[in-house]
Amino acid sequence: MRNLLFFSFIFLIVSTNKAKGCGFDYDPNANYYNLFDQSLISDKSLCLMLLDYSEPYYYAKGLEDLDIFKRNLASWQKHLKTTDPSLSVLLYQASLKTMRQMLGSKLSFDSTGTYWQNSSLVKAWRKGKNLDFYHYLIFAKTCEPHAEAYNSYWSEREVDTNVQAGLARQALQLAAAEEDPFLKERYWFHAVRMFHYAGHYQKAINTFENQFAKNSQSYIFYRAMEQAAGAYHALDSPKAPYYFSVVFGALPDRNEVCLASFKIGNQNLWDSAFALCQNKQEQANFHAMRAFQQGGLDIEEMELIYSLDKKSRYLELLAARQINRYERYFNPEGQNKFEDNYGDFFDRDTNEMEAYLKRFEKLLVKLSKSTNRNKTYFKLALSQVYVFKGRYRDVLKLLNKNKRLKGPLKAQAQVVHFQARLKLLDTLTDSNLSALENEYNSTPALAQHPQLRAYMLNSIYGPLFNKQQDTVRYFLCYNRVGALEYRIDLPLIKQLQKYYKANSASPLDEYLKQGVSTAQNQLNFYQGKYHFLRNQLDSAIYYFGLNPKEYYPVYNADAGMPDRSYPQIGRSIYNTCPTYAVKSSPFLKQTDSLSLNIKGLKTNYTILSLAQEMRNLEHRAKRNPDSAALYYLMLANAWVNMGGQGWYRMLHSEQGSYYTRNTSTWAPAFEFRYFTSKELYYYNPGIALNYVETALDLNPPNELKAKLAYVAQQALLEQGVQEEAGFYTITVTKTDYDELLLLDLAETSYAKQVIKACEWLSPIERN
Amino acid sequence: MKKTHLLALFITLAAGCTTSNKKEISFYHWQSNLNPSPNEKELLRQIAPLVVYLHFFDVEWNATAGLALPTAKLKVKQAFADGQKVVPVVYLTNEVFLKTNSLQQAQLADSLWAKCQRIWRGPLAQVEPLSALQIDCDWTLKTRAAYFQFLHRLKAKGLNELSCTLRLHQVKFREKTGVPPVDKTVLMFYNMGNIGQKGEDNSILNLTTAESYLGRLNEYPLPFEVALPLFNWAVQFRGSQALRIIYGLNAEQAIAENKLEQLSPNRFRINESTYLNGYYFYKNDELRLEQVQNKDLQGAISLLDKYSTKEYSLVFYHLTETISEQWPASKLLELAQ
Repeated sequence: MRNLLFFSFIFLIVSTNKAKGCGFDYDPNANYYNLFDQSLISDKSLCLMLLDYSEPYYYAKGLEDLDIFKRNLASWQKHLKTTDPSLSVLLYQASLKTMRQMLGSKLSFDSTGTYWQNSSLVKAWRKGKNLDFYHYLIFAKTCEPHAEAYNSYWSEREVDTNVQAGLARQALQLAAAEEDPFLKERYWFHAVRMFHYAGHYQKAINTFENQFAKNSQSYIFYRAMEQAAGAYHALDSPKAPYYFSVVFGALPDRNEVCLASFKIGNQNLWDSAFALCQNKQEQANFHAMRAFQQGGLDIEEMELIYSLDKKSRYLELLAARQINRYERYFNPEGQNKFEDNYGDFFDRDTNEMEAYLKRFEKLLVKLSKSTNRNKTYFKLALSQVYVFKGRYRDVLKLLNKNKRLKGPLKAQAQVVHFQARLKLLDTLTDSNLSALENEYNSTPALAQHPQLRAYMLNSIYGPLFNKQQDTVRYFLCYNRVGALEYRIDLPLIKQLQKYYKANSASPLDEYLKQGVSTAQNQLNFYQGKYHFLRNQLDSAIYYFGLNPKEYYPVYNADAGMPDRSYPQIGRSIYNTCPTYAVKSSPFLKQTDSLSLNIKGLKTNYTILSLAQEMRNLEHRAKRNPDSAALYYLMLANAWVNMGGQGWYRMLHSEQGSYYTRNTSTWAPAFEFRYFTSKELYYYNPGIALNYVETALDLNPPNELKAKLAYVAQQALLEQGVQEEAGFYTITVTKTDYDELLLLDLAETSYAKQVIKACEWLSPIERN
Repeated sequence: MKKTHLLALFITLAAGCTTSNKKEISFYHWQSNLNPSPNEKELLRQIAPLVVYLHFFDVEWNATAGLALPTAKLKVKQAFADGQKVVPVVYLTNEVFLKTNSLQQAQLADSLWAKCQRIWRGPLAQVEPLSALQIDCDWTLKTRAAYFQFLHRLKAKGLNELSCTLRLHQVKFREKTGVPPVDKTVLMFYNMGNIGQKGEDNSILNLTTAESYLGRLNEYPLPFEVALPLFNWAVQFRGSQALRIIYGLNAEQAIAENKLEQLSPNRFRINESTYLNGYYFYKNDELRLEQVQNKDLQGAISLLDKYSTKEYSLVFYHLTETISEQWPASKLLELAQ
């Protein structure tokens, strides 16, 4: 349930490409290899509109520092003929309170940390100079709290339309008295804005249309036009979308707002607004904005723009967006493309795109042959399209003619050229691998590319190693050894141990063997875990023991989680863990004391010392038949506690790890992919059930039997969950634990506790 | 067999004896303005709903501010009639719990509570203290811990009744998704089909899908109400790909103007690129109109009764000015019989 009605004065719904809702979170930008650099577009003022799959706008790092987003400040600097850094603080940060104290006191600092004594502007004011600017700022900062377009703060701040209208009238009076045309326009802007927010739409429009010079190119003129557009919108006028489109074209820092406010309700409104355009560039704004809005079809709008203006600045941008879309379609990350009911909703990488690709190629051919000064850019775009279409030799032919390229264009050409040659590989040999790796390592454009290495490993080398049945390298192209932790594959572990011991000086092997000592310890550990998961404790202890003691640090609450990423394993692993819903019931108290009277138990464990102690408990059970049932109950509890419901579920089945990706760095992930090992990576609840049944065969007292029946229920519940997830199928037990507990043992105090809590009856669906 | 009987008996006893299937009716109000029209007032008068769950605002993560902030706040122009029980609802995105730290989450509970109080006392002019609140959040495994902690904090504000919304998968996989620390839940019984799949006929209410999630409904440890859909929408497709949902689309005019070609009773193809309801459709895009009919809701209630012996009330989503055109009071009351 999601409310899409979003109140604001001039801003309407901000459309996004994101599907929100249930499902697992993932970053759609991390689902494909982006090898074509979108930032190559020559008009950087359009960079907000580059394609981003997870955000509606492309907020690249450092974007806010571009000058194009500081036009307001630049206009003040030009007007005041100063570059004093305090100007920015005065405009954007200084509070009204600070401003009011600025003249009448010796104010040196305020919360912004600015040392006002050093400000040339403040010094001038204190000498009685340039006070028009000072008074203007006081007025602007007075208006600001009344100009909240969004009511999106926790504190309630209802705007008062009477105050707004009063400020608008005051702004007109101040404008009339002001001689400086720069400040005069600024006052008019406030008048338009305040009239608009007060709901006096016609007055806002009249102020804008009658006061500002029609040919003004100033920053504040366009900001006032944007406000007038909001007022026109309230009156359903076609001038609203037209004005928003003009401001969109003029002010990069208002792209986001104008695009969100560019609303066309019906075809007639589009036609009327489009008819207001003064030239083809303005018409191109309309098509570009439609392309950028959710559901926009870039290629169609590109063709329309091309028919209007072959040199339109939007063509480069739309081409970059198109290529990005195709990359997502043609270069999905890995082979197991993420598929679920939610992830691809609102995306458009379907087979339809192949049909559009033909149209795109046709247009790029025209653009790359035209007299455009940016025809090289379109040639690079075309070469990338040839890669998509499998025309690799055409890529080489096209780019071989452009050897005099420089800078980012040259780097892009190197990437596409390299990509085409990778695609042409059909086998990997020592010689071609060495040549490719040497070229990769010695060419900055390749080696520094953030995603090319991952693309090479996952999309080129990996499939070829697989074809050549080179299992170890195939595995290492996609995974780090750590990925085996949750998909333990014994034959592969042995092959990896052999690979790490072998000497190889090839550049690729050097890369794949990074961190070899850690990897060897990990492999010993996984081999131990392989046996531990099967309750083969002697073997587990042997392999765990091959690593130095420091590999298994004991959890220290003060130091936090150790690198081995195991939580604290405490003695309570032997106690019964009730299901979530009864954790708060008194029942819990009855479960928490099993191990208290057992001598010699450790307080905290590493995985190694736990395995050792579990082996000791088994030995104790065999040596002491009278207490054996209790030891078996403790061991059954220990196994259940390693499951999804237990106190120590992180021990084997780190919750969520199966779904976790590590693609942000574009390095091989700690995730097992491309192998369909059926080896255990979750604990087998059958082990706990075996202990229960062995204990029941010893005919223990009824209270203990009841506890055994309960823990068996927990194991069965875990089996149910694991079966649901496709990990295990339910094994049939010889005892009916429902019946045992609810009928045969119903009079035990433990069964009474359970029945009172009652929630545990969850495997009901099996009936 | 013996075991089955035993458990059935156990459940029946636990559920208590019920003799009537008649259900109470409540409504969601999810519009941005509270200004009941004459039609809405009449509908409420005839039905006398138990509760109107009134959407107060959303909370979303604001990346620019680096804060969780309220959006889509309710504007109150006119309140409901005196005596109508109202429970505020706040929707929070998962991102809120993913991006905030524990300190911010604690502050969030305080801020949200304070804001609800102000709306309650201020624009809604309620005299009685605010004692019930509903939180709507489609929590995931990643957000569960933070969300549940947040609910604990809210409950500690002294609410008599804290409720939250519940999705079908959270009933079926409750060990994995957790059971929220609230007094009761509202099971969202809609949006259950595969909306993005072209072959899907009605993603709003798909009883086959629903049934596969209901096996454990009766044993859900919290009392629940069931939210049923009273809305229609259209899904826009390009090729085989769903692009977006369009609410309240009136296709009749476009059909009359020959801009739409009917492919099946609820599917249309765009003949000529055009704007409809504020959205642009390119030639060859397709539309799937999805509606909920009376028989669908009857089927839904029968299915729920099949899997639950517990009493539950119906919450209709959602109250609009035109709701009574398709759903007059008599129909809704009949459904609840």
